[in-house]
Amino acid sequence: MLIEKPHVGKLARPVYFVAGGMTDFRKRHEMKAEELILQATRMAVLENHLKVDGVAKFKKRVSFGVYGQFADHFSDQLLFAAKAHDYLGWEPIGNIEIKTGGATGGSAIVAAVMAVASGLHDVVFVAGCEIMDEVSTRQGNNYIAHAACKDFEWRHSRSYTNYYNLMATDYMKLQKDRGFSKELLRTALSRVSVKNHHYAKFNPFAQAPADYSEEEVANSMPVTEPLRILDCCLMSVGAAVCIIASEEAAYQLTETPILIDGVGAGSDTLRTGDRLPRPVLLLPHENEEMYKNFTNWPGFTSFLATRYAAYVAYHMAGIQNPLEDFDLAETHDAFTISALQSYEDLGFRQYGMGHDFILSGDACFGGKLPENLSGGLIGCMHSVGATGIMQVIEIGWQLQNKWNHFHADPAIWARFGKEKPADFRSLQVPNAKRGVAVSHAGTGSHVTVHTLRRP
Amino acid sequence: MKKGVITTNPLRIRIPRTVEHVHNYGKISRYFRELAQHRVLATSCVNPKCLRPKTYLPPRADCPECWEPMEWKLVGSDGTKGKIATFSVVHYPGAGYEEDIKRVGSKLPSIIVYVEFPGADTKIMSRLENCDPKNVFIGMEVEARFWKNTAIRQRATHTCLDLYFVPA
Repeated sequence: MLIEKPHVGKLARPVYFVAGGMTDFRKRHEMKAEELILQATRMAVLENHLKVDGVAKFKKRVSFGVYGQFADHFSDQLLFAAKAHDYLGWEPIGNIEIKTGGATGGSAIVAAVMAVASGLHDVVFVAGCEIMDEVSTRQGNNYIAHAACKDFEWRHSRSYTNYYNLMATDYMKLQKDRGFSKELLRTALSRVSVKNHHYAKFNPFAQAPADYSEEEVANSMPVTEPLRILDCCLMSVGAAVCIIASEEAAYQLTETPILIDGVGAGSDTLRTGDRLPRPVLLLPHENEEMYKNFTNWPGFTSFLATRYAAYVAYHMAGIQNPLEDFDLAETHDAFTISALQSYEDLGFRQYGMGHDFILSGDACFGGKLPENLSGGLIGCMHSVGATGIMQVIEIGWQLQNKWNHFHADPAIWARFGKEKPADFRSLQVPNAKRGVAVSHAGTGSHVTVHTLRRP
Repeated sequence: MKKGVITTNPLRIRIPRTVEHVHNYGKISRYFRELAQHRVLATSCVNPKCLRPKTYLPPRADCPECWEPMEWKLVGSDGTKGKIATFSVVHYPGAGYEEDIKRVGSKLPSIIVYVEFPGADTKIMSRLENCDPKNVFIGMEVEARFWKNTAIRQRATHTCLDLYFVPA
């Protein structure tokens, strides 16, 4: 659709993140979906210093549930929401199940925010999970590729890595034409993976903690060239749960409610090749002069949906310059290439300079805008229905100054059968005030952007 | 021993699944029928009031901008030249891919391409054959090819695999 200016909405009343909880994330899990959700819920409700005494009193406050599960194919269980909802004994309150591919978790949060902002509900329960361990990795890739156009694209590889790789090839060509060497870009891609696996080391919930070298990433198994196995996100099992509430309810429930002050949702065509050129949608800190030579945006190199969602969320939240205004970010690093692309769409760097966000160190702890301190999808997890919720929780915990509470306690590591590493270091961002979480589906068919702020 | 119901050794059972879907191509059925006859048909919006009339390949029956039905437009046949918009070399595809391309006489690694077809405003995903992965590049000229009646294959697949490209 042709647009002149995105619609920037307004929340009818303020909406808050109250608490979050997660299971650990693994390739295979011992528990079932509803059991995992119950574990994550117990953490959210019982380990967040809530001002309600026990489960029974908390339950009385909740009047609606939102569930995220990306693909019924994986669990072979339709109406998963009903199973999880009744396992937690929520009946007879209402619930909905959200499905928007990789952005399912983010979309579930959007739904909860809408429910609270509208005044329809005061406290909403949000849960996401994906059971990805019932089939082989190859079959898992085939299932995920069912989220590509069945008629024209699924058959061409049955692999989302390939669909992203088509974007990567064009992105690298464009960057080469701009004067950036292939080696520089390969280093930037590798460094995204190195960073995210490294940060996963300090996350007891994370599936793939590791200290890789850039060479190990660049020389790992080719999946679809130039993307290698260590350029790809994980396939995970695990659950994430968070509580979203109105201002009055939030302050009754916790001493540290976090305001969700921007909510953006964007879209683009499912088939990447269907995307027609448009003028670049400018963020508040950008001007037309910067992109006067851009004739093929978004093309294969950018995500219109991310840009659109960011535009809306930033305007709602009054973000002038994301790099300056945010203290941390959780982005959807499905592949190292999509991380670089997203840095540009989100305005962390101008178009064509995404690699500089990682190479400069801005994306690292101690940098200007630490990104994916959780380890992201490459280091921590991609249990698809839970992913966007995990991101909001990680930002929420950081802004609540609870990162250490949930990551540094040896008892949490022990709970997941792990030992807190000897070289552990705290990734709590000092005095973090504002964060942004980005959830992303397809090759950018759906993207949500949530901005969170300490009130 | 920890209290409560704890399982550290879950029981896993196998649930075999073999199902056949009878997939409907709907209003774009003609595209796949014509593909079997070595013709590529796009769809064009001919509504004079449309704000963004375009030619779509892959075809859509209805214009996404104005919602009016579009018209078929022949854009290619054997040997029609297009350009590679971008490409990918697939070593590790999803389950079922190798078997699927085997029936059209192809094997891994696959070069998957997005092709700019003359006369179409969108790009179509396809497969490049007869080319060393080292020699493929963006902007490379390629030619359309179609399934052929051979000893191993007497029928078109009526899928997107019926069309592929070779270096021009």
